[in-house]
Amino acid sequence: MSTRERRPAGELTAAEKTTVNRVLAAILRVPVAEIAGGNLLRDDLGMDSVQAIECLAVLEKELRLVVDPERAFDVKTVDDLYALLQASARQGREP
Amino acid sequence: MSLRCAFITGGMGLLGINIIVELLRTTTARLVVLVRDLSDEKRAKFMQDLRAFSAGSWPDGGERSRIELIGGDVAQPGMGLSPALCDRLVPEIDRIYHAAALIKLMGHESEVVATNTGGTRNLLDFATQCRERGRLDWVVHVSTAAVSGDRQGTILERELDAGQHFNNPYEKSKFDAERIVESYRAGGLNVLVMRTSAIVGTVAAGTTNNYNMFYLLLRFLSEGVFEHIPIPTDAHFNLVPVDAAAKAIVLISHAAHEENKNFHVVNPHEINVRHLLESVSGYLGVAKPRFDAEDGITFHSFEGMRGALLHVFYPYLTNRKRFDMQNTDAALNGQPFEWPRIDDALIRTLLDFCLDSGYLRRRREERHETRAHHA
Repeated sequence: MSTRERRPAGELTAAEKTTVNRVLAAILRVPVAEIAGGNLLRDDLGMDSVQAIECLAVLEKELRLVVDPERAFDVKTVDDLYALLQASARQGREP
Repeated sequence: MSLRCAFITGGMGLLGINIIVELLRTTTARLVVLVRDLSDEKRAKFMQDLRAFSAGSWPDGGERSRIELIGGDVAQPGMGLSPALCDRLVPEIDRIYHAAALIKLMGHESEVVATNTGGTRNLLDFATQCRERGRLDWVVHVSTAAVSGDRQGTILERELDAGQHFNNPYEKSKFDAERIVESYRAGGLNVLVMRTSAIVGTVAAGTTNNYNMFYLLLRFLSEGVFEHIPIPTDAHFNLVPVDAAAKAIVLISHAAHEENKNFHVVNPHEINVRHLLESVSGYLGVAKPRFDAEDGITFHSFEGMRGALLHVFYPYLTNRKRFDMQNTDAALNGQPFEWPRIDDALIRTLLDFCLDSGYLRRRREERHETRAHHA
């Protein structure tokens, strides 16, 4: 959360995508199986503005990312969410 | 003078509906309630909330017949009332309780200004008609202690503009609303300003119909997103359970001698912020945040989505200001009223309501369930 070394997040691993889906499902109270890339977060999954912020804050922590809050408004689908996370900065040095 | 007809705005909101409950309990007045949405669904929700907050006080429903819901919106010119409706109401209304407000700490600036600032002007225009053409005694304007913005130290009830800056558009909109109140007072309208601190659920059951402000903080804490929040050891939260706030406001409003005064409807029993966050984290089963400033980290070091969230809550998490309550204490002196103590038991009552309603989830149980599933 604080200023540290940064590197581009790049492509999410399969495990990280699983984490994204799990967090989405938990916050939206829907089965993980219902989460698909093309889903509209608001219209298909019922996400409200607080849940959107909550989701990004939790994913930022779990994936050790720094998400640009300004870009959060552009996220409409689950795929948009993956893209935002991939475009975010990852905390820490290159492994 | 006994109250015969009161007009209430914001009656669907948490504080507004509790003011209605208190007026039903303590007066025989007819209550005209302005609501934005008169749909069957909203009417049913209103009655459901009224039952929940009155805790079954009126099993025959007789008291509820004193309530008239009318459609309108404080943000609209003339509050959206038709001339015919306005003409009917203006001569009847003895008192106005203006509780309509939009509480948004993040974004929505134009809506917040339209409702909180513009809405107050529209309401006071209507009140002026009620005074000039009818029998209005005074207006009770619900404000917030947060009009003090970034001031520290002791905030006096009589003060408003001390050159403070504001932490968000909500605070500024309520400050501007009070400036408008001052101008109408100068024009002869009697307005009592009630500045509340953070309103939370009821003392007995933690009941709420709104999860703003303090509840958003609980939600983010319950998700464990804040690992580190540098908080001074002496920072304190000022929380007022909504039933106590409504009772205080209605009791003060019945005191006929209180002309054009401001009242801090805040709790003299504050709670230490570090203790509160530790207590909440422990009860919800999430790791408590670290509070000390370490490695030169300051509030400004935080970035990303969690940094943006902390920017919203930080002024309240580091609050050290105190509120003068001289007018409030004098008005409540000798009245059947006590400020509730904000202790761990009350915090758990508030959390239990949130857990039961599904607003919050207990992380420890989730982990237990996960372990059980894997076993």
